[in-house]
Amino acid sequence: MLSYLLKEENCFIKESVKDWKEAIHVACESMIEQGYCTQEYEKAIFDSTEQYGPYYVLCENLALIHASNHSGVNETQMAVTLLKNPIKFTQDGYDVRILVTLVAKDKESHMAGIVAVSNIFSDEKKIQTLLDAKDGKEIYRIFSENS
Amino acid sequence: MAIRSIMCCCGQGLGSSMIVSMNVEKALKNLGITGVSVDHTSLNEISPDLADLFVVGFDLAPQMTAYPNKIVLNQLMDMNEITTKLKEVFDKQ
Repeated sequence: MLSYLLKEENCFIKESVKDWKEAIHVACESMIEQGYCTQEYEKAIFDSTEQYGPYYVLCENLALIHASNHSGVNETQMAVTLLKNPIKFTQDGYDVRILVTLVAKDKESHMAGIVAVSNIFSDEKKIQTLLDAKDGKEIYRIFSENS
Repeated sequence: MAIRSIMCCCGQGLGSSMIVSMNVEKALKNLGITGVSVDHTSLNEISPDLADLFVVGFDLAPQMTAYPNKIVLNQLMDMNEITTKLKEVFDKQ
């Protein structure tokens, strides 16, 4: 079941972000406001990015934004932000329009969410449907159907 | 040595390694290979005796020089690449 991992109100559409740092901030905002993680978690993502590069950009259009479960994680939860205009995390990197925020308490509790990400992003048609989503409700429906 | 266990690894052991482990399971099924356990974890939790075969993304390959039995993926989400590379490894057995 995906419903305990992703809520419709945490599926967003946003016009654009000015840089990758704002992308991460936007991706973490709802999770911090709702107490699933703290500011420490967002900081851990920035710190890891400085150390390793944008390890969460998995393919064209997708950033699975997360850090380890060692700092600032309260409860497992996800959020999805669809950007109308793509952002790059490195100059020569992929264009990214879908930010999937992952707050994971342990190694397994977010499985249903990863199943959905994997099912959507292994199918060009599903990726396009997600990129064309008009509102959060539609984004949520696509994730639900694929979990 | 017969491969009985595969460990998929990434930096945090939560995101891409979980996706890759699902894709490895799908690929093994497609190839008709059974009796292999597939798991995922972070790079700092592994040792060469933890699994018979390791799977990592290309960005982490430099940290895996002590692991002779590994598959390095150029595209983490590409089912074709993982299927081809697994087939190569299992065909050699």
